[in-house]
Amino acid sequence: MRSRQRARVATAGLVREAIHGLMAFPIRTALTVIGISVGLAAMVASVGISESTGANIAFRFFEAQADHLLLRTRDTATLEIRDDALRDLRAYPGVQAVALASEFREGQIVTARGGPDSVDAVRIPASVVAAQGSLFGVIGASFTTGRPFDIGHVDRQARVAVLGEDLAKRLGIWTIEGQPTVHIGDQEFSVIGIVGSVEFYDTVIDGLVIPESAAGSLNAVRSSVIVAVDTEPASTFLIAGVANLVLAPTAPGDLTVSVASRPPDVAAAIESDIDSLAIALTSVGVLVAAISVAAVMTINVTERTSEIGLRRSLGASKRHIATQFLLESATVGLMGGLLGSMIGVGLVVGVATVRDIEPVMSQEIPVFAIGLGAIVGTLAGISPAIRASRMAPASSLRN
Amino acid sequence: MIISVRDLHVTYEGPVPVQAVRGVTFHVEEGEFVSIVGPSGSGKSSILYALGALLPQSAGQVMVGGVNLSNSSESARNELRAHTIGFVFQEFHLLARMSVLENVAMGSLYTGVRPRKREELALRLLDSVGIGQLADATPQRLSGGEKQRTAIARALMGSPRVLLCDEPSGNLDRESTHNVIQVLNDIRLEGGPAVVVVTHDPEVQAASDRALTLRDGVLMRGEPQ
Ligand SMILES: Nc1ncnc2c1ncn2[C@@H]1O[C@H](COP(=O)(O)OP(=O)(O)OP(=O)(O)O)[C@@H](O)[C@H]1O
Ligand SMILES: [Mg+2]
Repeated sequence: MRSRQRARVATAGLVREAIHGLMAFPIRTALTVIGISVGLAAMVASVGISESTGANIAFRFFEAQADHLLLRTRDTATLEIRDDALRDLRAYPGVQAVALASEFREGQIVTARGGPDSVDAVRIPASVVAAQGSLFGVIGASFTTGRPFDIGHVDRQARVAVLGEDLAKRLGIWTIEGQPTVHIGDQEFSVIGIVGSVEFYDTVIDGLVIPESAAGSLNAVRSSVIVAVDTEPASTFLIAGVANLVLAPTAPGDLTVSVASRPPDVAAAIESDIDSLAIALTSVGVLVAAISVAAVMTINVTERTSEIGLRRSLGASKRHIATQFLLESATVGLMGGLLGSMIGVGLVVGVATVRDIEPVMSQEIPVFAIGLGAIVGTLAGISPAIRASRMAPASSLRN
Repeated sequence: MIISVRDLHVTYEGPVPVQAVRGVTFHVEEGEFVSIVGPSGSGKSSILYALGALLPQSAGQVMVGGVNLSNSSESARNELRAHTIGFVFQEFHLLARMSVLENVAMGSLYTGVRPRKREELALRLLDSVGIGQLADATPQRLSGGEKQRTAIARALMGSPRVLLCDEPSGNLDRESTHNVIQVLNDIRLEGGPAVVVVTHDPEVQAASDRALTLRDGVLMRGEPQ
């Protein structure tokens, strides 16, 4: 009975005692709360600002770094791009390179392993692109294995193909050793290279490219003509405005122009860099906050030696004493967390407003900051609380 | 017999161990008022804190309220301090941030009694020591005598059977000392706890039923062996 009554002290009474204890040094408590809130505000703000910036970063890169154009004939258009038109575009200021390609109707069946008639053949519908060898350079293709076709292949009308990595994987082709072949319809092509990534024109990654000169053998209909243009970033938008006029002076409306930015994974990588920077800075802030709480609690315990002795003389157990001080530091941490997330959210909104970007933040972040404050406060309070509970009561009480 | 001390030794360890109490034996009956006197450093406080189960350095047999302190558990000793023993100190040890009433009510904080009940009792005890009108004051505003009466009321909150006072009038003037003696006498008359008071004050000693005189950690006069 008695021990159950005493247990109740721990739950209700000690919270009151802890708050009373904090009120004993209001300025010190307030400073500690502000101290811990600065660390947590830094966390909320840096994560929030990095999230907001991250959400806006792709767009900024698009603006700043766009350096490619892709022109494509409309579905219905039957447009021939003339050689002299291509030459004109190549000569245009700010244009670095131009490549012509064409795509065939979707759903060309590509087969590997034993050819189209084999039982274990893998059949995959894929985009087939016919192009000159220069395409790979213009679209910034990087090869995981093998190489692009060259002028020799084109001249010989060689039946060679460069696979995009996604298609290659689905076909089960990992290497060009052993001279793998694929079939487009019933036509066989030797695989001479696999493209792992491109700066733009992603169609290549999940399709395959064959030399324009070998495309005649395909019993297939061309669906669109593609012109890939590598530009200087500063001129990209200017060129985008005139490219269709240069290439198709009589029917510029038959060409759609799209501006390509850096691949999004670059932006994602930068965003994750900013995140890890935020986390590193935050960890330091939280660590500093923890140390300051621990220091202040240690001072509190030292100054309140006689109070601790008094409480022991009134029947407080070591656990009562430890719990009270732990509750005090947890409360400080919790208040620091509350204040810190308010300040942090305010900072994110403020910075976003000033920089004219959309403030974006996961809802969990402020909640996490409050919880982290309480946890940091509790952890930082453990050592002082244990010290308080171990103090010899008699020596602090006697004169 | 509410207190029974047999061959109590208190030794403070250190570079030079101090034998503060060297074989003290005495008893205190229920409701008795006993003073412990002797020169400074003779071990008076050491005996008092040993009685309050606050000195781990003690050896020998100490029984308080039927509990043998030398072989009792930590929690049994906490219980004893919460329910059986009340302490009064020379330095009062009031908490400045709390009102007089809250300071008194704190006396039974660790007994599990609800706050409302504790405040009711605290108010009654403040009345009985004559300072009911100061319930809402802060301790800083009180005179020494009022502070000590607050501390006595706090010590009585747990309805103790033993009240241990370490020089309760050490910081008080004549008049306040009289007040405190008056309060301690009243407690006895109302069937309250036994009182053991360490004192240098002849008046306090004179008010007690008997005095134990201590010299160099040994009892000179008083309880027969
Ligand atoms: N924590 C301690 N460590 C070492 N020695 C101590 C400690 N506490 C007390 N002493 C020593 O033990 C002896 C007895 O001390 P105690 O406080 O019991 O005496 P006292 O009779 O109450 O003295 P006073 O009248 O001055 O209060 C003294 O010599 C004192 O210096
Ligand atoms: Mg003393």
